[in-house]
Amino acid sequence: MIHDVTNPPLSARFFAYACLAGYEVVSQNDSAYKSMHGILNDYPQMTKPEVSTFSYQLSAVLAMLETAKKMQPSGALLQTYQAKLLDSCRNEGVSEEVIAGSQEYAVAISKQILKYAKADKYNLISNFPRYEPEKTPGTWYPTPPGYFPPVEPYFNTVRPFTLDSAAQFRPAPPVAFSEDKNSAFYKLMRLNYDDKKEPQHRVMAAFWDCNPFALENKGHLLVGMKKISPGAHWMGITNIACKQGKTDFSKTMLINASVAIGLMDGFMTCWEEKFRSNRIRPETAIRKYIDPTWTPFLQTPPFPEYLSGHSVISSSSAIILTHYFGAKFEYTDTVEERFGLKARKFPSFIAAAEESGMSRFYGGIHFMDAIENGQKQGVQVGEWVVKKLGE
Amino acid sequence: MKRIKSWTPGIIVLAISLGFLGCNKSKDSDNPKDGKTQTPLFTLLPAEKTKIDFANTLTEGLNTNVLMYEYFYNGGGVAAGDLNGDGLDDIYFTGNMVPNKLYLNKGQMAFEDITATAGVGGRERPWKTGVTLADVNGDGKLDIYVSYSGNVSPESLKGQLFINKGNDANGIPQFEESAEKYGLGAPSNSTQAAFFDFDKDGDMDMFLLNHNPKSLPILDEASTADILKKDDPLTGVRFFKNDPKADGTPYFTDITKKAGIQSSPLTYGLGIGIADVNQDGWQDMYISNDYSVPDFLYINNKNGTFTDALNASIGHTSHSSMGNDIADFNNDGLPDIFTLDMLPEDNRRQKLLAGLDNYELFDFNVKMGFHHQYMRNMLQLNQGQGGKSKVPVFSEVGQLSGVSNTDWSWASLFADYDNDGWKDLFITNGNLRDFTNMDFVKFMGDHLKRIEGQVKREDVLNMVYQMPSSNMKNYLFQNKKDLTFTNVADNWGLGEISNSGGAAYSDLDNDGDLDLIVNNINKPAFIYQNDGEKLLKNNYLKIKLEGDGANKFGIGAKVTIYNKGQKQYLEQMPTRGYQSSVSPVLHFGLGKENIDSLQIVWLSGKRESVINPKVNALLTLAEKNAKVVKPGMETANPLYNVVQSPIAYNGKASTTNDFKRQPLLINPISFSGPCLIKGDVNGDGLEDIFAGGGSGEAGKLYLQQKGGTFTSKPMPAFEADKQSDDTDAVFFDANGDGFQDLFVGSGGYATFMPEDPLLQSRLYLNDGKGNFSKSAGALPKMITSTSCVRVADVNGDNKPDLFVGGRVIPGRYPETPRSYVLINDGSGKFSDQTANLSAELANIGLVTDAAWTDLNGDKKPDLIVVGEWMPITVYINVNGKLENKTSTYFDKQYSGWWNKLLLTDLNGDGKDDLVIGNLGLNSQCKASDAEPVEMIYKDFDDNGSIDPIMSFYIQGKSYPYVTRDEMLDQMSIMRTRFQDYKTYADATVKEIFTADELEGAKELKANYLKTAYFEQGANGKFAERPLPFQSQISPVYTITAVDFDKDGNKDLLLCGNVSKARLRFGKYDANFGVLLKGNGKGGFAYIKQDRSGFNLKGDVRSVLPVGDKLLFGINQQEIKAYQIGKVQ
Repeated sequence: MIHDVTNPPLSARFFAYACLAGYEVVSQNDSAYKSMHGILNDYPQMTKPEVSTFSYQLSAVLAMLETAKKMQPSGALLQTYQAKLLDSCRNEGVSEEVIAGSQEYAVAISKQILKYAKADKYNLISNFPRYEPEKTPGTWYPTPPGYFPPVEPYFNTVRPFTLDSAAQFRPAPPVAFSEDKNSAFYKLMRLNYDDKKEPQHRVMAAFWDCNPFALENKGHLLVGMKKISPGAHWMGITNIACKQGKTDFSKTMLINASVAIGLMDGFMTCWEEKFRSNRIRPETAIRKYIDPTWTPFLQTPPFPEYLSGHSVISSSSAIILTHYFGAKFEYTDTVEERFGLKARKFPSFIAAAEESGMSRFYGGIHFMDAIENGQKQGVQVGEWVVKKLGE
Repeated sequence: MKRIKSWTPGIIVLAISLGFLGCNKSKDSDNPKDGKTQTPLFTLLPAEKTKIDFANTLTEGLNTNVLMYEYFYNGGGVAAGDLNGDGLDDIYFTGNMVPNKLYLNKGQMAFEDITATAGVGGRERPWKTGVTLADVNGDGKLDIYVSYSGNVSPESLKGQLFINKGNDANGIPQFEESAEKYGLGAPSNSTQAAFFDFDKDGDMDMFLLNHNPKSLPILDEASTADILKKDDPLTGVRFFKNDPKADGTPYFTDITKKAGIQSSPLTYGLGIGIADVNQDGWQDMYISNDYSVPDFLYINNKNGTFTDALNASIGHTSHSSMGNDIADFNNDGLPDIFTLDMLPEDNRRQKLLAGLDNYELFDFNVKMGFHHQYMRNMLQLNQGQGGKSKVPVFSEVGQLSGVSNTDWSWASLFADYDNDGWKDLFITNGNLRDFTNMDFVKFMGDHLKRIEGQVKREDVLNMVYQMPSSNMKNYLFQNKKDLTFTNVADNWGLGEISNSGGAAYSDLDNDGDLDLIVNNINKPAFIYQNDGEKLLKNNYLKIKLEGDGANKFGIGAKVTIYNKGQKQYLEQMPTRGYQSSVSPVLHFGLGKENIDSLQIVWLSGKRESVINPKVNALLTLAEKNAKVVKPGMETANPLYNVVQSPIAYNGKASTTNDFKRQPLLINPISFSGPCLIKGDVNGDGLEDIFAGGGSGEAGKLYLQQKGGTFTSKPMPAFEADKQSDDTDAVFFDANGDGFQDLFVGSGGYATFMPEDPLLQSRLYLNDGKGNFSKSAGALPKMITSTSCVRVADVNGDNKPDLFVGGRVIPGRYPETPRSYVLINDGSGKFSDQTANLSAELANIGLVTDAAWTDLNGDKKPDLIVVGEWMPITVYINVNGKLENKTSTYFDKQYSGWWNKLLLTDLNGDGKDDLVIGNLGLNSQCKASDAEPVEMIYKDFDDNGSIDPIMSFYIQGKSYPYVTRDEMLDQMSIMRTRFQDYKTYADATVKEIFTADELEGAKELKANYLKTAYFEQGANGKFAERPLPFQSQISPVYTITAVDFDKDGNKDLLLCGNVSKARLRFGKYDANFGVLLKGNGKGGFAYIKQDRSGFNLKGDVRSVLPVGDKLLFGINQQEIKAYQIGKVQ
C-alpha cells in the first residue's frame, strides 16, 4: 500500500476486508468466535467451504492475503510474500496436502468476502462529480506544493461496518471562521502560529506524520516521500500488543479485525465531517491572515481540516485495544523504525492516541478543536464498535 | 537508403525482404529535399577535421549535483562571430564545469583553440552558463560576455565581459576583462546577457536574463503576492542602461525598477528574445520563464520604460518555458515568437509524465496572474495590431504548425537552412537525467529513508544516478510554406542522439549556407557542415551591417527583401535561441529566385533601398548611406471597427467546469450561448432581437427603435424559464396568426441531470405587439439537451414544422440523446413524429446543427444534420419519409466534431454550398481516413457511469488519450491492472480492456477535423474545396456570409474558440475573427487581422448582422459590435 500511495480512508477499507477474511475462517473453525453475520451491516452468512484437510490458522492468513491481493492495486506483489510464507510452512513440516487444502479454503472465503466488499458502493464513487472547492473565505482549497485534489470526498457514501450511517457521531461544528483578530478562530490560528516547534514536539510530529505521499520539490525533479498511513500505524501497534500480550491466533485475528473495522468506521465519520465543514487548513489560513512565510512542520495532507482523522482513528483504535488489553498496557512502538524514526514508549493506548492527536497540532496541520473533537468522535466510534462486536 | 549500403552481405536477404515491405514508406521519408538528392544536407564533422574537441562534461558529486543546483543539466552556450576581422566566424563555447573555449576559424572548417592566448577562458570554477558576442564599446570589434550561475559564492556569480583589444602580431585577438570597469561587476545568477539599444541613444544597453538557483518556493496566494513585491538583483532579471563616460567608455547603470521590469525572486529566466514585435521602431523583449512563473512580453514604451503586454497579446504560453526565438516564419513581415517546453512527441513518453489534470492548481496560477500555461512549445503567430491597439496580438499555432512536441527542449533557431526562401526551425533537446517520469516521482521514493523526517541527500542522489539519460534527437523542421513544418532531422543528417543545449548558426565556411554549432553535455560539440551549396544550389544573400555611432553591428536594423510580391524579413539581433548568439551576418535563402528590391530600416529610422542586389554574395550595408525618409502609408485602415453594441446584453461569468462532471469529456458542452436571432415581433417593420440566456439568466427581447437603437422589453414569460439554458431559438409563425412566435431550445450540460425538467424546450406565442406567452402543451415532452432548431414545412401542409437536434445527455456523454421532427397541426401544437418520418433520426447522434434545404429540386425540404462524432448526414424528403441519402451527396463519409454549418451559394451557380465549422487542425488530436480519432464507451466497471475512452493516432498507432491516473480515477478496477506508469504507457484500448469488457462497447469515429467548405456541383453532389489554412487555427462555432468589399461576391467570417477546455488539450484561443475574401468562384483568401480589424477574444457563439453592424454573442461576455468602414 505504501507503493500504491493508498490514501488513509481507502487503506482502512483494505485492512478491514482482509482482516475480515481471516476472521471469517477463524469463526468457522473456532467455536469460541462467532460470525460477523448479524453484527456488521449486510454481512452475509458465509458458506463454509467443503475442504477436509487444512489448517485453519494457515487458511486464515492465506484468506487475508488472497483478499489483499485482489483488492489492492499492487496486490500481486504479495505473491512473493505468500510464497515465502508457504516455504517456511513446508520447512516447519506442514504437508502439501494441508497447504493445498488451506489454500482452497482461503480462496473460497476470500471470494465471498470480495463479493461483500464489492457491494459496499465504493466503486460508485467515480460516478459522482469531481470535487470543486467552495472558494469562500475559511473553506478548504488544495494546498501546496502539489495542490492535489482532496482524497475520497465521497467516502461517506460507502457502507459502514457497524454504524447506521457516516453521520452517526456528527461532532460539534468547528470554531466559526473569522478574520477578526479577537475572534475565537483567530485565536486558534495564533495557537498554531505561536507554537515554538520544540524539539520533543517535532519528534512527536514526525513520529505520527503517517503521510502516505509528501511531495518533495527540486525544480523539475519531484520525489514523492512515502510513509505508511495512520491506519497502518495502528495495525502495527495492534500486532505489537498481540505479541506482547501473547494472545492466541484466533483472538489476534479478532483484535485485528476489530481495530480495522474501527479504522474504517472512524474514517467514515471523520470524512463525513471533513466534506461537510470543508474547513481551511492552518497553512492556508495562517499564510493568508497572519504571515505569508509561515510553513507547517509537516506537509499538509490533501483534504479539508476538520476533524483530524488521525485523532479520530487513534482514539477509536486505542479504545478498542484497551478493551482487549486493559487501560495500563505499556508498550514500545517500533512501527516507524523502518522509516528512520526511533521507537517510542507509551504507558497506555490512550496516552498514545492523545500524543498522536497532539502531533497534528505540533505538525502545524490541524487546529486544536479538530483534534479535541476528533478524539471525542474517535472514542464514540471505538466504544460503539466494541459494543456492536460484543453483541 | 544510406544505411543499406553499409549492411554486410550476410543480411542482404533480410534487407531485400524488408525493402519490399517498406518500399512505399521509404519513398516519402528518405528524400531529404524535393527528391533531388540522397545525401543529407548536413554532415557532422569529426573533431579530427575541425580540431574542435570541446565537450561540456559534467562531473556529478555530493556537492555538484542537481539537488544543490537544479539547473545542473541545463547545458552550455555557443557564440559565433568574427573576432579577428578575417571574415570568418569564430566560435566560443561555455562549459558549465569545464573551461570555456574559443576556436579561431582558419577556413575550410578547420579551427584552432586560442583560448589561452586570447585570454578568454573565464574562471575555472563552476558555473558558466550563456555567452553573448556583442560590440559593447562600439569600436567595431565583437566583445564576449560570459554569464555565471550556480549555488556558489557571490564572487563566483559575477559575469565577465571580455573587451576585444584587437589582434596581436600573430593575428590572434586579445581581450581584457572589463565587467567591473563598465559597471557590470554585480553578482547574479545569470542565464545570459543581451545587448541592444533600447532607448535609441546610439549605444548598447544590456538586459541580463537571470534565474533563481533555488527551487520554486511553496506558492499560495499570500506568499506569491509577497514575493512578487521583492526586488532581487541576484536572481531577478536586470536591465542596465549604458551612459558612456566622457572618454567614450561605456558605463552601465542598473535601471531595472525604473524601466518597469519585474525582478522578483520568482524568476526562472531561460530565454530572451529581442525584436520589434509591434513594429513601432523600438525593440521589445520576450522573456521565457521556467515552471509556473509567467513569461513576459515587455513592450518598449519609447521613454525608457517597458510595459508587460503578455495578457493583452498572448492567449496562452508554454508552462516550463525554456529557450525562445523571435523571427518571421511565415514571410508576412511580422516577427513571430516561439517558446520551448517539454512535451514529448511520442505516446510513451507523454504517458510517463502525465497525471491528472489539476484544475485547482491551474486556476490558482491564473488567479495569481501567472496566465494560462500549458506544457508544449508555443508558436505565437504575429497577427499585427488588432484595431487601434498599441500591442500586437498573437495566434498560437504550434500544433497546427507541427512544432509543439519536441520533448525537453533548450534552443530554437529559425533560419533558412535549405535556402529555399522560408525559415526552417532547429531545436535542441535532451536531459542527462530523465526525471519527469511519474514512476520516478511516485515509486522511487519507496526506498528512501528519513532521519527525523529528513532524507539524506546521498540517498536521493543515488536515486538520481539511476535515472537514464533521455537519449533524444534534436529536431530540424523544414518550413512547408503554409504555416506548417515537417521534421527532417534524420533526413538532413542531424539524427544524432545527444543531450544538446545552446546552439548557433553561422556560415562558417562562407559557402552561402548556414552551418550549425551545438553544445552537448558529456559529448563533443557538434559542428554540422551544410552542403546545400552543392546539393540544392539555391541562391542566397548575406548582409553585413555597418551601423553608425556605437551600434556598429546595426542591432535592431530590419531588412526586408521583396521579390515577385513575396517578402522576407530579418531583424538584426544575434542573441537568440538559448544561452547563445548567432552570426551577426544576416542570411537570406532565395530558392531559385533573385531579389527585386531590398529595404533596410536602421534602428535610427534611417532607410535605404537597393534595387536588384546581386545574389549569392555578401552585401555590406552602411547606415551612413541611409537617409531619414518619411515612411509611406504602409498600413491601410482596418475594414471593420469596434463600435458600441446597440444591445446591452452581458452574459454572466460562470464557474462551471464540465470536466468535474465527466473528466473524460472531450470538449466542454455547457458554454454554447448566447444565441442571437432577429425578427420583427411588433410589426413596425424593424428587426428586433432575441438574445438567449444561459442557465440562471432570462432570455432578453430588444425592440428596435427608429434610428437603429434598441430598447429592452421585459418579458415575464422568459423570466419564468430563466433556469433553462437557451441554446438556440427561432422566430416563426407557429399558429398562423401572422405574428412571429418564438421557439427556444433548452440545452446545457454540467448543471443538469439527465431527466431534468429544465431541459424541456419552449414555444412562446406572440400577441402581435411583441408580448410573448408560453404556449402550454404546445410541445411534446422532450427532456433533451438540445443544440439547434430549424423550421420547414416538412409534410407539405403549409404549416411550419421543426427539426430539433439533441446535443447530449447531461453527465452521460457520449450516449446518444433524442432528436426530434415536430409536426405542426396548424394551431401551433406540435407532435413528435420522428419515428414515422425516420426511425434512425431519433437517435442520430450528438447533433450540433442542421439545415433544411431542397437538395433534389422537388420543392420539398430535405435535411442536412451535423454533430460531434457524426458524419455530415443528408436526409431526402421522399413520400412523407426522410431517407438517409448521404452517399448520394457525399463521395465519402466526413465524420467530424462539427459545430456549426452555413448553407449558402458561395460560387454564384445558384446552388447552396456548405461551410461547416469543426475542431480545426491546431490541436494535439489529428484525424484522417486511415487514422481516425476513435471513442469507445460503455460502463466498463458496471458502476452506473459511462466511461468514454478516446484514442487517436500518435506516430502511426492509436493510443487512448487518457492518462494512467485519469483511467484509475474513472474506473477503480484499473488500479490493480496498472500499478505503474510504464505498464500503462504503451497500452492500447485492446490491452487495457479484456475482450469481455469490450463486448457491447459502442464506438464513435471521426476522420475529419478540418473546418470545411463543400461546393455543390451541377450534379447536386458536395465536393470538398480548400479554405485558407488560417481557417484551421481554432475550433469554428460561427460562419457568417458577408460582403465587406461590396464586390458582389460573398466573403466569410469564421469565429469560435474554446476557453474552458480540458487542461491537457489546453484552451483554444487563436481565432480573433477570421475574415476570408471570396472571389465569387468559391476561392477564398485570408484577410490579415490588422487589415480586417477584428480583435475578438473569447468564445464567439453567435454572429448576427443587424443593419450595418455585426453583433457578436460571446460566451460569458457582453455583446460586441463591429461596423464596416471608418467610424466617426
